[in-house]
Amino acid sequence: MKRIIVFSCWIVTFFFSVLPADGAIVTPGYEGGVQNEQTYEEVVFITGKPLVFTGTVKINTQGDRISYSLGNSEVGGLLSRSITLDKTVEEKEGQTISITELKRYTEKIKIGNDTYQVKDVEVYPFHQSIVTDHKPAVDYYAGNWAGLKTYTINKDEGTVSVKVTGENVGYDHFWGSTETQIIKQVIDSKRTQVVQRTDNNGNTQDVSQTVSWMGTVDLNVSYNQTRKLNYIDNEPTQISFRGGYLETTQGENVMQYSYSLPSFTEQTTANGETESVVDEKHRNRGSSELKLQTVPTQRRLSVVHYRDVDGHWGKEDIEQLASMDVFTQKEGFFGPDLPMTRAEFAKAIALAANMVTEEPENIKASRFSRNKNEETAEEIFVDVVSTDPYYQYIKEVEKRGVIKGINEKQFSPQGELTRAQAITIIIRALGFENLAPNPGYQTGFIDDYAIPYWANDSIYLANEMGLVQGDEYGYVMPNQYMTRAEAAAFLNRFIRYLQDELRTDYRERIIYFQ
Amino acid sequence: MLVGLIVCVSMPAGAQENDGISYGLVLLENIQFNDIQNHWAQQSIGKMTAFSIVRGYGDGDFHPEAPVSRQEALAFLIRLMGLEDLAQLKAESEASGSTGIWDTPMDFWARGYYLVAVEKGMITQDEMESIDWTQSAQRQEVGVWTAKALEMQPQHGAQPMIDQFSDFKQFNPFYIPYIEPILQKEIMVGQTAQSFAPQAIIKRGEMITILDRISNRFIGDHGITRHMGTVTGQRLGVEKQEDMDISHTIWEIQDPSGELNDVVMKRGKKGINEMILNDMIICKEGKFSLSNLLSIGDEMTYFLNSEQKVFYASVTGHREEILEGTLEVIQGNEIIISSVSGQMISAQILPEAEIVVNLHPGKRSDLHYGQHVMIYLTNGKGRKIMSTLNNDDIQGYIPLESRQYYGKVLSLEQDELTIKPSQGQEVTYYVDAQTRILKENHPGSLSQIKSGDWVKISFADKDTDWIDVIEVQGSEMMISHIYKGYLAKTYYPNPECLLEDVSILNETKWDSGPAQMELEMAKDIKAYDGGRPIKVTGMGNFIGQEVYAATVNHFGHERVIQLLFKQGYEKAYNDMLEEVDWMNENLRLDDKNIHYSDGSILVKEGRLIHPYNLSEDEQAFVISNKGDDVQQAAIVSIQTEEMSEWNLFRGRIEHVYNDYLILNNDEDLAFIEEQDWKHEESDDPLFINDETRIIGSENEIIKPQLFLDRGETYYSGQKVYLVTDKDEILGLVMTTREFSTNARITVGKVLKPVANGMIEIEQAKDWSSFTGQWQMSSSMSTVNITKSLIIKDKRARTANDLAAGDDVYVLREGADGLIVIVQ
Repeated sequence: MKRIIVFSCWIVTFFFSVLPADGAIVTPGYEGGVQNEQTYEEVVFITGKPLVFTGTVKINTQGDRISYSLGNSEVGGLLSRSITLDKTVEEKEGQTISITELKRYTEKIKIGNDTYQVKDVEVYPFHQSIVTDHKPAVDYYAGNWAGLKTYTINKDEGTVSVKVTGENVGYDHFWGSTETQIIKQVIDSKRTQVVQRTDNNGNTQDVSQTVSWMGTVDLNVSYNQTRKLNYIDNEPTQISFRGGYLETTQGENVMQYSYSLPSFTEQTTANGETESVVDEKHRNRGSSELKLQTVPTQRRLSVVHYRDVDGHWGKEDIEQLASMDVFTQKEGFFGPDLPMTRAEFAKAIALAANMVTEEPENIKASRFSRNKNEETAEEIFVDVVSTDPYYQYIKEVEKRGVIKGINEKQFSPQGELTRAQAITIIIRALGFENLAPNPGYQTGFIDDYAIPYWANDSIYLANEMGLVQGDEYGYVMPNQYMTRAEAAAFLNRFIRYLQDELRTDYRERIIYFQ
Repeated sequence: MLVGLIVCVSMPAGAQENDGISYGLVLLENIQFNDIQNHWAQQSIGKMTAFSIVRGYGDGDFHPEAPVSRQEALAFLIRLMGLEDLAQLKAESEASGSTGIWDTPMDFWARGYYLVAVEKGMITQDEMESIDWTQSAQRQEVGVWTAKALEMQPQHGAQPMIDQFSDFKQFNPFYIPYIEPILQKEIMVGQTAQSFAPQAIIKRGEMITILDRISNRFIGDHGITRHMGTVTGQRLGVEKQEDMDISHTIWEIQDPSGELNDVVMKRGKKGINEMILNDMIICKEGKFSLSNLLSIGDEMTYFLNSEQKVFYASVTGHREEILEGTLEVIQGNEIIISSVSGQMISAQILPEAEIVVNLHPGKRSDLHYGQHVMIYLTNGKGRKIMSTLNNDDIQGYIPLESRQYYGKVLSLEQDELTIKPSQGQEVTYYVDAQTRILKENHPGSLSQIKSGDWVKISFADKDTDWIDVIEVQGSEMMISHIYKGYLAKTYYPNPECLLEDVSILNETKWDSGPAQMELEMAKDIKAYDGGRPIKVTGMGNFIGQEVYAATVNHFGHERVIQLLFKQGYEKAYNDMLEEVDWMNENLRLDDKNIHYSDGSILVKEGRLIHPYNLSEDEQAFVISNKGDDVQQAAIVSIQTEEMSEWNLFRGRIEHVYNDYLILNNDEDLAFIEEQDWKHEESDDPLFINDETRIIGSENEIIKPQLFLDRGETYYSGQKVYLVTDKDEILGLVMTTREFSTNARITVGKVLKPVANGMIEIEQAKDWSSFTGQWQMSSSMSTVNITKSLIIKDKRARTANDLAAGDDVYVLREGADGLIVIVQ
């Protein structure tokens, strides 16, 4: 009977650990459009005018087939496009390099009586490459692409070629992801039409008339998904808990586009027809924005009942982390002013950045079904045995290079965590340790001399990033022990950095300064 | 039962392996008597206690200064000699018989010791029967007994050690031959350099020190063996038992013959309970501890008890040396360096040797030929390599623009730019002539940076506070509207609010807006009820209340960045700020005191500002909420004049020279200052460049070269309006009308881009030189710009370059724009 209960627990845990959508965003290709669950919007410039097309985009699970079906009711436009990508991926020491080519490409745009068509991949050479740097808590990536897409106009009336260069930069972590694409298009249109002209003698004759123009378009697109926590107070007082946290995940996709297109003027021909002529003296310049948000997914987090944090300055940080299971103790006495141990912090950072691939419950559960050969769990540190409740976390953070032992063999799990250690751990988790100045510099803190040499870079960077500040006298106190409340506040700061700062850096700081 | 295995044994196991003792911790506690801390005999007392030669009084004290009775002194010696059992035996056998020898004062317990002492020749039968054994022992007596215990030969004849003491006469002459060798072996020393104080009473501390000094001779009798060696390594291992995990710390001790022996300390862990399974006592630098204070390089003497367990070690020195030179090569675990004198030195390094480069953690691959290194050797093995690269000039170097902060401008005063970074506290940096300013990727000037702007500032150097580049964000932080309405609904978690009965602030009045309006709320919205911040999640309590909302554009959607719930009744003021009291957060205008708070919506130049930027003598439009007795500022909108980047002149051309012109110094010569024409005498040259746009009186474009070629003969006396950037003419418009007809100045925002040569201007204001104020334009919001000189970004442009939303400054004659300047 006991066995069955355990088994069903295992199922439940497994289910939950898979259920929450991971932070990764799915970008709808590289055409420069925004989307939410229902709608996809893109601006079509090939007619020489910006036209917003709306519709849907479908992406297969492998992400290598994308099909668009869009329309614009104002001009009676229809767009259908289907893309098959050919992606090769190369793994290199913590980095992934992907190279993408087009395998198949067809596109057809009908606007009024005109049909613009890209028949196949032959007329759309496209090459893209992205490098991803996998850091313990965050994957960062950046890439470039270039392409030249040629549309035929009504089969034989000419072509519109669109030269595209793009670059993207993004990150992906447990609390969210952002990808910003900067796309530049140069559009070159040449269209030859046979029109009827009446000459001075009143004779009507067919004249072949060529209209050609060029335009440039800048598209700044940003896809973001962020997981946030908000505290919700309970209205009634006669309820067993005062409030709790709501976790929401929302996608917000924005696009800012600006264009310089020909200015068309309507001309009346001799026979009374109006035709559109390119006004060489003027340009149609403008810019606009699109934004689509998804309806946020919501999940209430468990409530915590501590008896010694009400009124403590660290209450919010502690309860928030406990709600999201970073602290697994949910009730009783938390001990906010007690020292934080290295093992506890290792566990907290592993959970806060979702570094643990397997839930600890699973490990426990799997021990019941241990009939196979005796597993000899790999010992990383002699003072952390595999049955240690912190073993799994310490193993993960060590494997990812977030925390090192106090020496080759020892982790000192019960050692008290110093500020220098905590700062170094956070900077390593973000993967920023190589961004510090050339070694041999001073951090600028008055107690620079007291900073252990291995923490120098991290303390410098954390200060630059605003994660850590000296006290009013300019001391950073690297060797001071962190209390549990201080560690909670610092972890929360790390999470907020992931949620907000990175997004701002990858979106607003790029697009707003373009 | 062992279920695990010992891991991490990377080095060859020692020739001999000895564990510590199970009662290590208890023993450590026992030898640390309360009253021997910092006592000169502390080490000997601790050691002799650890050796079970002596013990304390059981109350944690040792009383090192207490006297020792003769019988006690004898007992100490006999116990050290390992003869305690024998004494016991003798006392028991003697107890049955009864003799008269016990007439002298002595304690019953001591009987066995006298008998052993007599047997060993330490005392004679006579002495045993004649001395008062309960009296305190004299130093000379202990000296003699000690010498006899050590079976030393009495030294007659030359007695150099005794002779050096001035108090030699106080010695019992029979004792002197025994004391001399004791002094020579330094088992006892004088109390001072000159005196031995032979008759002085011996103290417990002194007694134990003597025992310690002679203990090596007798420890064998206790089953103790003595060993020497140097700690050359530490290995760690773990052993799993069913109920406990045992971690091993294995110290590798190299004995003088070069052989390695292992000393093993064990700790067990059962759940979270950690316990010491075995350990030993270390005496290092005068302090007792367990083996955790041992370090590699320590030279020590250690002792095994009869069970071959190490129980005590005293660290006598530390073997470490440093080699210095430039690196030649590292191969495997061998490093070769050339020393300063050019000598090649080879050393072995440990596989796990710590490597530090320029005080930064390094790897072996960071060590290169020619690099300066210091190798810290312990027992001949490199344990740590400190290295430096001689590149002081680039230490601390950061790539250009890599030190960058992003934040909101709080204030810019002279050369001090204060920003609030998106994370962290506000900071002030400095601006100088070298600071480059970019606005939307175009070169800009300091005057384009407004409080409330978001900026990216970069530094060329790690430590400087002088800014290298300031990049100013586009118009995204500009307030689009300020609304007032009744909060009808809030949505969560995608924060949105629904306002009803909306009014829109238009300059200084509320225009009526839509009946219902849905607005997104920014994620970092500032929401206030009066001066009190409220949470967005708590806004449900405010349904039905009137609220002010300031919005910005966020990718084409208006979104609220500040919300303030109205309290009391509204009253509007439009007056000069008489006083700003930052301390008490008060504004004074129109003879009223108005309190402002964090909730107040403060707007200047279209941006939300920090109260720092409020200053006296500025025109302010204030909407206050009148409460019981205070007025709270809800909205404070500061009306400022833009500091222009350009100058607007009018006058008649007098001279045209090579590449400049000079205007006639008559009364028509004037320039715009505070919206009015000011006459000022000047004959400064104004330069014409190839980009100067010259519009003739027939509305024709005159090429600059043509203008200069025609020269003053052609243009002298021509009435012109000029826009200059310092003394470079950006554009020039000729006019045939009289200046006195007074071209008017209008400012506003372009509503629509050009169509048929007309622009529509919204929020248009005309300058009235009569009242000296801006007045809302009555009807004139359409300007013909077909003939206008258009200046944007310090360049003459075409009508095409005007875009919706541009702030324009228009000099017009009736509906004809003469000059349109985009601010």
